[in-house]
Amino acid sequence: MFDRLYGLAYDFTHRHWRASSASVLFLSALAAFGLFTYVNYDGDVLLMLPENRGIERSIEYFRSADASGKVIMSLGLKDGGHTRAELLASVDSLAEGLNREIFTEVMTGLRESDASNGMDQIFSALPYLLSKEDLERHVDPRLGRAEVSERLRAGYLSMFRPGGVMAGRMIMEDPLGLRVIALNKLSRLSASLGFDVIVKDGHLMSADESHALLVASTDIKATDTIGSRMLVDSLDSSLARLPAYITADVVSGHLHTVSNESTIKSDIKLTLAIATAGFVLLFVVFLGDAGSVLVFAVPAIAVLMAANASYFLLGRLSYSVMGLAAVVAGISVDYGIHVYIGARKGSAVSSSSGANGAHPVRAMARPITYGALTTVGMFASFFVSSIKGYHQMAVFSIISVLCSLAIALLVLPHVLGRRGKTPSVRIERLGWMERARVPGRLAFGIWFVLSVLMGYLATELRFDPEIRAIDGTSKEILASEDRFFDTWGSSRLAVLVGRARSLEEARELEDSLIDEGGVFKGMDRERVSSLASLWPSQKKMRQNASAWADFWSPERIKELRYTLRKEGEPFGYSSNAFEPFFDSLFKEDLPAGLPEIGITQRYIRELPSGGGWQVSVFFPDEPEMTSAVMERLSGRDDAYVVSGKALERTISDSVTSDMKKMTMMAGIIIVLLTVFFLRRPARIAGALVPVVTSTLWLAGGISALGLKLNVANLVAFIVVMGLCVDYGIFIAHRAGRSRHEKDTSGTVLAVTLSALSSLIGAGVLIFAEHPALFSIGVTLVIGLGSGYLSSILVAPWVAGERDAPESSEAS
Amino acid sequence: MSPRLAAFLLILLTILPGPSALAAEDEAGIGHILSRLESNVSSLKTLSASFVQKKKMAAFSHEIQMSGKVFIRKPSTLAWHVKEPVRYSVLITDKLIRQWDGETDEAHEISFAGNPMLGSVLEQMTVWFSGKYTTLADDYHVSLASAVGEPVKLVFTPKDGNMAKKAISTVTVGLARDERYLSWIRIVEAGGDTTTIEFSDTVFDSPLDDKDFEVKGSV
Repeated sequence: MFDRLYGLAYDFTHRHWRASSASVLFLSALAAFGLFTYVNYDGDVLLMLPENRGIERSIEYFRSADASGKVIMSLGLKDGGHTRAELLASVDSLAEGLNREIFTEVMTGLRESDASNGMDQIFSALPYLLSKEDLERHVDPRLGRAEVSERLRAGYLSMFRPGGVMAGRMIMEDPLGLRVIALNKLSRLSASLGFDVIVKDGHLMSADESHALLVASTDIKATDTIGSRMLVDSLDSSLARLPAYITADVVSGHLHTVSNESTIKSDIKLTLAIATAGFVLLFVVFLGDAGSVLVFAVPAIAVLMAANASYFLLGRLSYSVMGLAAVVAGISVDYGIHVYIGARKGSAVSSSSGANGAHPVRAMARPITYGALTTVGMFASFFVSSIKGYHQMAVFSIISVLCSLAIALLVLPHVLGRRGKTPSVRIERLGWMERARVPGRLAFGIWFVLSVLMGYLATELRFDPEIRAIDGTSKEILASEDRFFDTWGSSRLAVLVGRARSLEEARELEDSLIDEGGVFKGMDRERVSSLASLWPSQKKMRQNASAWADFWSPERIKELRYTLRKEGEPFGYSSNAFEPFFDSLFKEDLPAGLPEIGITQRYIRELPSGGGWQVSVFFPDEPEMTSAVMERLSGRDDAYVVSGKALERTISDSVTSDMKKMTMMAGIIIVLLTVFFLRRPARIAGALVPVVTSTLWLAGGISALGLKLNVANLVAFIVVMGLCVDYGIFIAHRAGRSRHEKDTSGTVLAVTLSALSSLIGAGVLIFAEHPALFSIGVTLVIGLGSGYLSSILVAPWVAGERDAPESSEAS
Repeated sequence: MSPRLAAFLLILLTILPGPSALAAEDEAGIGHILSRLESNVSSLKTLSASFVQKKKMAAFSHEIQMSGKVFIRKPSTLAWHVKEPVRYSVLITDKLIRQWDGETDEAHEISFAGNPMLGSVLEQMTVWFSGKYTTLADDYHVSLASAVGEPVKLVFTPKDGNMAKKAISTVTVGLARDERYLSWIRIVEAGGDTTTIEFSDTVFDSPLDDKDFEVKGSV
């Protein structure tokens, strides 16, 4: 059936070889045009992460959080030859010079007027802010005679400070120091910022005053590639104007975006260039036939077509997928190689002879197709993964492989045939590869021992869930960030995120989360930082006001008046000194809105496009705490935890689970197809030797090199399996042929060229700067190299090939 | 009006500076004074002086008067020791405030590292002792209240937008005749309370003992 269908198609394209060649060229030109004009690339990191609600929420939070629209700069002095004044002057100059169309707001210090307004607002709202517990725990103990006397004495002493401005008014309005209760809550909020900051000469400085901070806000999101490039260019030109004695370290998501894009673009150019040069070297120099470049054209055309088709089908295409274009080209060039070797082995291009064995290309069609289908099946296993990027890779790679197969089997033979019917001398000289005999039993023994050793090493293989493992940001930017955090400190915090439709609903949600019976029950709530602890919901404020009114009964007020007068006399306090305090005890107006304390936005913000309101509660990112809180939030849609450490664990668990599924699926597909194609147990076993070898040796090799698996090179693992089974299929297929057929088949040469071309396609990634591409390159080189060697040295013996000549058998 | 008088007035108006010009000239003159004072003060490394501080406040039925010594060491350390009527000391640096109560013999310290706003507020208070008055011109209207020949007397009034406007109505500074430092300072608060500090026995750049900057037991 296969032979008949292929024969019909072959004959058709043979008769219309000009039209079919021209069609391929036309489609290639169209595809090339589309690649540079129509196709848009996507740098979203979510594409390469498992589809997991927790992961999506975390990434979405980081993107939408205030931090994603901020660019934070740390300026310092290079040496001791300049003063702090010069440093701060540079900060002011930089702030002044930033492009206000890009950097909408620039902060170099605390805005004292804002802080002052915020504190007045908090002090006047005190009756609504202190809970019943606060009254019992903090206010009631202050009403005793000894405590009142101590406070009045402290107030008296404050008059003795230099200037002592506001001291009199403060003691009149707050003789019991109740405002300190609110100030302590405010201090805990400031502590959640995670940086060690002091204010000096109106500027934010590090504790040792060696560095100054500048925070610029922008509307450009870090995921906006074009906007980020514009921002970075503008920032670079501003930083270039700084004096030579000023250092600048910048922390910004935009830098990562731009750097990743630059790295991948540069890598794509480099890898394609090296791969092209390698292929030319391999085919033109090694084989001595310039026409062999046509073989390389097959996967190149297929990649162009696949990119356009994938973009059309999926609507998006990731940079990472295009980064693998060289790899896929290296995989699918195999088909053209087999066709080329077959065409050059001396037989003329026949017309529709119909005789299957009379034409080497036709004879190779079946194993070539089997190989391509197992590769397709291997890529199909990517669809069981929850990583959307892998689905893109699957679509792109399957289309590319099928296009390569079609062009190699139906167009290339005719084009090669037109170039002449003379057999290639170099190919004939390489015939020793087919005739070489390897001591099968010995080779198998050595292979077995080494495989067991590699299997043992494989047990030490670890998975690296860090996003940095696949982050292509340049080392300079990462080093700059490390310096920044060394200077300013950084405490790792998790975030409890709550969402609701309205502001008040969000505030009430936050109250419920942090209350005594909330998700932090049984934990140290002093370590939890939330706005609601200072400024609760209106509902809670009404409760507080009610508790306040109950607390300040007429009897208590009367007693306090007496105590203050009595204890104040020795210090000279006037009899009506504290009337302002008593006048402020009862306020009728419930405070509206949010406190204007500058950091409010960090804790509560309105989401864009009518998304409602979001509250953030910060707590230490410690596994026990985050796990306990997550468990208590289980099943809720309105609240969840964002934790860097938990994110790593989730990615690790999800990817491991995905990989098990993908590997199992790929293994099942490969085995089933191999069984279906080869039928005989020995042939099947021989075909699978390269797969088993590559898997074991790859896992052991990565572990031995001290490397780890990550979300990027895991996919390469499966690609290796699919490629190596092709080698095994060809060798197993060859094992069933007669001695003469084996010696003249060119199979070993074709497999060797295939392996070399794949290694070129994979090996170029070792030159890539992007860590994801680099790790894929290492994976492929180890896997393909070991798979190839086992296919040549071990698989023939396992497939039943013995040293004594055999009679011809149908495969 | 006769033509001659009108012409005279016209000439007078053209040669005399107008109100804004006068204000500008005044500002320039005040700017020179502030620069001069800051230049004099900036050359000092240390300073010690006796002080008498008087406070009239609504909270107290009588005026509170205290005396003691103040020590200043550049760039930003101030030690304030009260001897009468109570023993009390406070040390203010750019990183912390430490105070000692002589009666209870207890000392307390607050670091600004965890409370940058407190540091900023205290900096506002101590700037009057630092002599860095040119920078204050950004946040205060400054006027000259002394006549020619008298020791310079400057009045600082907080501008709109200055946080201090909520607390302070005016700060009046009287310089010593040689303009090397303050002779007195008077702060009128927004609520009506007043504080007056008079300095005497001022000594410049004398070697100061570290004990002068200890709060406990230094009085």
